[in-house]
Amino acid sequence: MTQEPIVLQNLTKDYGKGFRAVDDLSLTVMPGSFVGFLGPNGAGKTTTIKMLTNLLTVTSGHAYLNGIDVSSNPKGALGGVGAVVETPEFYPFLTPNETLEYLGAIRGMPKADVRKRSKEVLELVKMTEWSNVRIGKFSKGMKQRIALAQALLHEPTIVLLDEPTSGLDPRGMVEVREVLKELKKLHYTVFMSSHLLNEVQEVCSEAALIDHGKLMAYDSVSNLSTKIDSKKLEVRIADQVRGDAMDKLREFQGVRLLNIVNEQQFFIDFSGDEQAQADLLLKIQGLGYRVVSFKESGVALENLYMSLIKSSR
Amino acid sequence: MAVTSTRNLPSDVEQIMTVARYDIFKHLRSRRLIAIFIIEAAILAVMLALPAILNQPYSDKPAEFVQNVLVFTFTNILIILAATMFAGDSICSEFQNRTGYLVFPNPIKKSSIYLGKFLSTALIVLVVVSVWYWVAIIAGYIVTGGVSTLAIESYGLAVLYAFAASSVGFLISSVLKGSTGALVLTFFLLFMIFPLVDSVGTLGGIEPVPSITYQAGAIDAVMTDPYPQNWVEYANETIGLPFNIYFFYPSVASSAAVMLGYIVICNLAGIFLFKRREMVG
Ligand SMILES: Nc1ncnc2c1ncn2[C@@H]1O[C@H](COP(=O)(O)OP(=O)(O)O)[C@@H](O)[C@H]1O
Ligand SMILES: [Mg+2]
Repeated sequence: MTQEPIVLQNLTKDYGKGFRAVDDLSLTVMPGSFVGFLGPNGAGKTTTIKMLTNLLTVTSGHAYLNGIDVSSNPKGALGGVGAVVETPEFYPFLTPNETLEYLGAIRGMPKADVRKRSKEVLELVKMTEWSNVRIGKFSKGMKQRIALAQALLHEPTIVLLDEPTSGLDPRGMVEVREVLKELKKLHYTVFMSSHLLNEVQEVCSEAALIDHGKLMAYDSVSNLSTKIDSKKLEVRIADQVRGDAMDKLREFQGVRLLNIVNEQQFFIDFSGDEQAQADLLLKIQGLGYRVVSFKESGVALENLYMSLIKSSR
Repeated sequence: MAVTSTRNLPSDVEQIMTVARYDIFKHLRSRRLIAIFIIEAAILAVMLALPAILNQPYSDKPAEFVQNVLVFTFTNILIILAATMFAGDSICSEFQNRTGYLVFPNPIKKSSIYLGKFLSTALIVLVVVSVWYWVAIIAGYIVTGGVSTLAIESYGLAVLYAFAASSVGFLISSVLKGSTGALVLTFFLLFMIFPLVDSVGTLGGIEPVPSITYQAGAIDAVMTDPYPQNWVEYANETIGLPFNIYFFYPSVASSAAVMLGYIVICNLAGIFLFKRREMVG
């Protein structure tokens, strides 16, 4: 098979009449890529992933998985897919091993494979010691890890994840991210939604930015980061901020925006090379300020993300 | 890395069997199954012991013996209870308990999930009804020395009724949001609403042919020898009867046909609605 693992074609979803949650979304995911589907809450991420997993009907457009249309042939399309959507619940009367046996049987895995893979995936998500305990009373974090395990059970070609770290405590988040990084090494094609920029930057190779159901940008994380050449500089001074000095600073080459946080701190959106940045520091000192600290704060992608979101309002 | 392709996916029938197997497993680990068997055993024990307690002779006719033990009111309640407990929330619980998020994104048709669950429910209610009948039939054999084909016919109709009532439960379960609502509606529909409609129809002299609970009457009628006939007590002012009173008895054939109709129609509608139902919330 040579076709792209995930193809969205003008995918659209209306809830009831009038409200368009996903708006004419077109997107192609290449084999082996790890795409972060990034957008603020309510952007339409879950809705998109639900349409990909046959949980919602499509209003118009198409979603193809391994070249098969999910709406017309969900069984075929989902054959090579592992998914975690929202936080799924499990049958409380089954243990993780029994749950994996069930899902393995539905996916057509021979019993011996299920046993072997169950061991592997439960180890991967660090749930081995719970493998024969009924899931009924598991915590949310434990269930989330079992959910990841089941998604990988049958060695799918495509992994769809909807905010896999949401609702977890910081330690749970770190643990799940470790699993995600393992996936990256294993060369699965992963499509993962997230509203956390740092998470996407940490684990994804590509990012698709979505807001109000529309695709805002889609490129490799590194390209997106360089696309916008401004960075955010945080400046702290030992003197009081003066208005006239600030006005002078605003006129300096490369300064796009100046935000005064308090009397001794301000942020500068700055575009320019390292030489220009060094000159900027001299300029600030030249205005009579004693600079306590002068550092880059925030990441370029965040700026892009925020500016794209702003422009779509 | 192994590439799972559509080629080695199990057939629909294999997947239906898998779903059924694990659904039966669910019932086996649930309190509901134990509860219904306790209810069943308690009623059977009382009804079998009743003649002895009241110092009355047991019937020496095999069909009548079974009819006396399996009082229709109890058979009816048992079947409605079983249909409620094992069908009433089978589909909507996947939505309400969010297990649908785990199961639906798999390479399986929703109709296969539905049919697998129905198969499991059908098997459970079959066992419940079978225990009911076989205890009475065997006791009847021990006491009377015979087994009546009428009792076997009644058993067959009771199984069909249990399947049909479960089908009603599945349809309700495909429509309603919450488990509790689905359980309550299934129970009251079969226990009160249908019978009420039956009574109103009968009072008006209309035989409620399409009603599942009316047709269930054949389960008892078939064990009466000779088979009861429809009749009318005409209005007679002299004995103070101001209107006609009608008595209707469904035939075995009409009962079986209507039950089968319910099984087919409710499940087709149920599958149709389940397929279109979205996983929201
Ligand atoms: N069942 C629903 N009915 C109506 N609107 C919904 C429903 N589910 C989600 N929405 C709306 O659709 C938009 C997208 O939601 P969602 O896909 O869940 O966003 P995300 O996952 O990106 O946070 C939101 O504005 C949300 O309020
Ligand atoms: Mg979401």
